[in-house]
Amino acid sequence: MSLQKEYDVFELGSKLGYLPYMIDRFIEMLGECETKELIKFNETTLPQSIRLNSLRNSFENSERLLKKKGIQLEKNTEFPESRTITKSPHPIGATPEYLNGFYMLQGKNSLYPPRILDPQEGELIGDFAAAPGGKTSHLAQLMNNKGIIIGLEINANRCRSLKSNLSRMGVENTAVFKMDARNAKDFNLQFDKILLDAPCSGSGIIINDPTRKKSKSLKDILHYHDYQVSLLTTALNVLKTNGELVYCTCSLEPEENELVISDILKKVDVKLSEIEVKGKPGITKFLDMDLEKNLTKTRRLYPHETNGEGFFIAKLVKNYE
Amino acid sequence: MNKPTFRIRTKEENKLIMDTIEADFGSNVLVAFKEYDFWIKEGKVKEVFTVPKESSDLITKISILEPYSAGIPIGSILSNSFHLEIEGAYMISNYTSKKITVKTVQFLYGKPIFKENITKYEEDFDKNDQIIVIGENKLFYGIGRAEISSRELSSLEENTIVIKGSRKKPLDVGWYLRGGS
Repeated sequence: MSLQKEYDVFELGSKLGYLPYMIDRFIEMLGECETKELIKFNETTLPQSIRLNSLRNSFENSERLLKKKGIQLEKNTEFPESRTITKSPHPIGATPEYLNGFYMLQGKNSLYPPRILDPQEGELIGDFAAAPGGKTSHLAQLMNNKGIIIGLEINANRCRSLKSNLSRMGVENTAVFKMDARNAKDFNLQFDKILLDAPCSGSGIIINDPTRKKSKSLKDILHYHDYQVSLLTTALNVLKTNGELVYCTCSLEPEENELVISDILKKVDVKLSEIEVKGKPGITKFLDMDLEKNLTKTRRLYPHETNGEGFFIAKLVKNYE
Repeated sequence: MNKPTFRIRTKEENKLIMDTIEADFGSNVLVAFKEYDFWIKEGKVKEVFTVPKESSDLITKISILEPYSAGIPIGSILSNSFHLEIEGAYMISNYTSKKITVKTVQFLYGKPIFKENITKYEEDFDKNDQIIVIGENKLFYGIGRAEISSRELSSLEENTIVIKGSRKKPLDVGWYLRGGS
């Protein structure tokens, strides 16, 4: 379908296959003009990007080997480990270098949550929705395989792919548990830091999964909200006092993002930290709701603004014992 | 009380693993496992994991919950014999000269290595020896078993299988695409 013709935003949304409620909500968040930009952008393809894995090889060596194969890479100015593939004569997910774990196929925006969590060698880190392991192995890389990561995943098939990816990437410091993260108190541990990349409706990654235009209802989103609040509440309970937690989703829905944080701020003694990420501040008004002003400390990464997957990211510090 | 399915190795299992690796690759390679404990996941085959001491201590402490996996899976125990697999072979690959270098990628598809695929071998090998397979640019490809000894190589015809691959076992890194995830 040609996107050159100037359609009305609802007409365009309908032609592109979105459920009408989604367009309504995008307009509420972004206005008509930017909603058009977003849904048009979702019809494009994101550039492939990789994260070089220093647990297996130096960045320089991996780059040299890939260049030798005719794969052209562009550095990402924000993260030394990130590269965009600008040209590749080979499927990038099937080279011997990939199989040796020299890199992970990973969208550049998904590098923010581990970077913001900033795990240190020797810390006890919780990764409470760990599969398929892109962020887990990134955490391990940032920790130089020192310290411990407890990775939780509820789904057996996803545990399998998590294990496979961690092995391929040379991750040694992670123990994977097949369990519902809402039972994390059973560990009887206090984590230094936790990453909660919460299961979500995925409206930020329509560019990768166009079925999301129709696959989730408002009811589904509210269901995710309850699950996310429950996960986050548990995660904060097993975090050390003054410990840090990064909450993120690949959804653009306020119910899965700011409204989750808002619920938590009302019932738990935590504070939001400033995070240095490009993108829009979290929203504080949605429909008839006025939310806490400090939700502007959270960040929304929109695909059309960042040329990457949509993300919401918040960093919380626990104040209570 | 149920027997744990993910548990630290017994003394006998530890000896079996270390003795097998030493017999196949020499005592020098054992240093690769110095900072780790072996853990066992019970099943049809026993999966063997190397777990850093720090993680091992923590897993022991939280014994009420059993990991799905921990550290790096290095091999398996079947019928009281230990088999080194992809990541175990990767761990020792820098400590052994029992390697052959190949010029094609077919081993990554679980296929065998023929005489004409071999560009060099660093140490003589006998029939049934375990050998690390290295590809172009010194990339690790996996581990295989010799079908013949290196002394026979010069007298062999082309198309003779020297190292057998396996499509069904995790012996080469191509496994990560074939069935490992």
